[in-house]
Amino acid sequence: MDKKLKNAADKIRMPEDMKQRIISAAELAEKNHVNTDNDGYIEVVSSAERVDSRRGIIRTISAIAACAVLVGGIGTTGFLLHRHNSTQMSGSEVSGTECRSCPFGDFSEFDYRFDAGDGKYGRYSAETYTKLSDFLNKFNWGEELTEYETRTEEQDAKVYHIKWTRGDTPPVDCDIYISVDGFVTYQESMMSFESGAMETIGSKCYKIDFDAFNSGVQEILAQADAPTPFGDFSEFEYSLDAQDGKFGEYSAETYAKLSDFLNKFNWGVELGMSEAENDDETGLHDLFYEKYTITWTKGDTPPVNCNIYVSKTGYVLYNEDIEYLETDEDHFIECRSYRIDFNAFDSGIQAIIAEDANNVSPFGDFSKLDYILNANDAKYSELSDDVRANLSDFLNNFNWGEEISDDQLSEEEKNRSQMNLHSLEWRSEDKLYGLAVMEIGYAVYNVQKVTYVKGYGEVIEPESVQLYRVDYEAFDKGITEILAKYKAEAPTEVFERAKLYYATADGLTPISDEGVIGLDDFLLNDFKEMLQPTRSDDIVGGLVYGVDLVFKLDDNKMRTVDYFIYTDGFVECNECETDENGEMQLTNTEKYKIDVDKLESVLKDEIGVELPEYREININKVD
Amino acid sequence: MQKCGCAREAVERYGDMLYRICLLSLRNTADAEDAVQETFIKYVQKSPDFSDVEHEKAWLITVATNKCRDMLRYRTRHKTESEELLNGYAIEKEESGILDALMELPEKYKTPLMLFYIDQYKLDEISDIMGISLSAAKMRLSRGRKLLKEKYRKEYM
Repeated sequence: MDKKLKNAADKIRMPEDMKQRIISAAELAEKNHVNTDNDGYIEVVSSAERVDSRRGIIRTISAIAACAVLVGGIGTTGFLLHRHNSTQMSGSEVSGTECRSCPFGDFSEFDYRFDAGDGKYGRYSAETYTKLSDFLNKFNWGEELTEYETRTEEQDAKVYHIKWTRGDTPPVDCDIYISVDGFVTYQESMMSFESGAMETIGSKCYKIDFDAFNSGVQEILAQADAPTPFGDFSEFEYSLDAQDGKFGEYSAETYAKLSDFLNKFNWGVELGMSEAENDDETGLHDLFYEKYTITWTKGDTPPVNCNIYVSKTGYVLYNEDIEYLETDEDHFIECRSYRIDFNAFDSGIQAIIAEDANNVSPFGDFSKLDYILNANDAKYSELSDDVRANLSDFLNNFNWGEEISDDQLSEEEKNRSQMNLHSLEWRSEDKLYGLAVMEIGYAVYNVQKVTYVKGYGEVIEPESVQLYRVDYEAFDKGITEILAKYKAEAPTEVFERAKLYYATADGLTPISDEGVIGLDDFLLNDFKEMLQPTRSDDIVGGLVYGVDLVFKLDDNKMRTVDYFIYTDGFVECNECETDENGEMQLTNTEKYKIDVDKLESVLKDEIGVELPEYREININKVD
Repeated sequence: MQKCGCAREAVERYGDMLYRICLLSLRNTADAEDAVQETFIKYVQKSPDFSDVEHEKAWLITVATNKCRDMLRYRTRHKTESEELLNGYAIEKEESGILDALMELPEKYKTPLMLFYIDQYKLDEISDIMGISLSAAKMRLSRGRKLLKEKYRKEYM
């Protein structure tokens, strides 16, 4: 997709005559050069040169070690601790009355961030912060160090960072860095009035029992917090779109399994900006790399949309945005990225959604649709509940593949006119839906809108057509197996009689005995072949013929199929069956079109039925 | 430091790129020509010092996109004629859909998408050019590509 976009855009070139006009105008301006600035945009333009990530690291080191001013310069292994003037430190912050062993003040009163280097950047619950505050307040920080100490880079590797801001006139940034060997640096800094840069105004150092600190913190974090950087998936209602056409329509049971999987999945640590944005593996280079989208909403004042995009490269983008703000400005309030093992993620998710008990198709949940199946051998409108449930389950779980565009079909697929197919049709409110699975290996999903027009009845207009690449053989096999069960369950049915009659209810019979047998055979078989399903209700002509077919079922029950044929070719078919009380009940109604001239021609010329005189004129017109 | 070159050389080197950006942004040939011309006039009049050619290119893109933004603001109050924009370029019919979809996106998403996918800029460079934060550039690109994908699939596939 990105290549398509670039290829297309690269073909846009400035026409030569336009180029010459612009050159002339620019050269004229160059000659009459007036060095004025019209809009003031230029001054803010900076170089687009890439920032060397190492500079970022250096800046980080500089900031972290600001309390320990480097004597030998950055890069040397020897660090010398230098104490700033301690009189600049705030006395209230080190009051021992609130917390005897805590030299920084009462953490429960600070709005601080505790970064444990676990990729969560301090995003813990209030409950966890309460526990952390209690722990930090009670922890033995020891006495402030007063001697210079030489530090190595290894020793100085920071594990924990606690940060808060004190006051607001001016605000003072307070930072505590805890190194791997238990060396603690506390630093206060504030913005310089002259330069606007943050300047260290004081620092203190301590040495703590790192193992005790580490185990205490880890115990709190392990017990109390969300299992993923995004929270606990079992605690919010999210939708997981796996691009399988189901748009996250999975059962609650499946979502429970998904939550468990997502909570236990290793999301890794948050990527740094330079690591995330400019990596060719981010998936941003391909519009269709996105494979999974997980979305949910949290809060309501205002509601915040949370989105996780998982690309096939393993790049994970998480963002939060506020929906209701109607402004042209960005209102993203959070943006993070991660890199995961995509294969592990993909296989885990696919295994869960493949087992989804209430799997639904891209066309909806067939168990809730009142569909009719036109299998490639017959029409199945009256299926037992058991067979219908099996069929719906099969249709819901069938692999409908991904949607394809028309140009992805081969010429043969486009042009082949004769083929076997299974089709389904159903109606829901003002829409008619058709789904045909073609022998050649694709499915056509057709949606039509039904509008009621006064005086015309229902008018049907096409709304959309979608194509899916499917395995016809698998579909055919599944359908055949289910219908075989239906056929086994179906009651034994014996043809009893067929009757053709004219509109006046006069029976129409062939002249010869052979013709009588031929008429029965025709009405049972070839007649039905001449019927074309229609949705039109537009009956213009009067009734001209009727056909009654009677079948005897088990237990002295009957099934009748009555066709009413109108002069304009409209055919109405009613099927009735004896119910448990012995009453004939209408079980199905269908509408068809038929070529009346052709029907009459067959009846008269091939079977020898004597038709009413007035139709002779029409019959003679038939070739 | 490098001094900005002569007008002809600059137009020959950057004209197509700026015209493409302005055309996709403004969706009008005459307006695109105006925007490009004013960009180059500013270029020769201001005659800025550039650290390298990338800086020069980024400067021109910034001025052009700002100019487009001004013209789009003006256009909200003054309607312009629509035109069959992509006729006249050797763009295949199946390719034009993606450009049509791109052009229909809001300006704030269109520009980072153009810079990223067409002019191959990195995100940090886009944030510099557009004068927005890296995070905002990332989010505009992310949201833009999602909108583009949806629009392209829905209307042009």
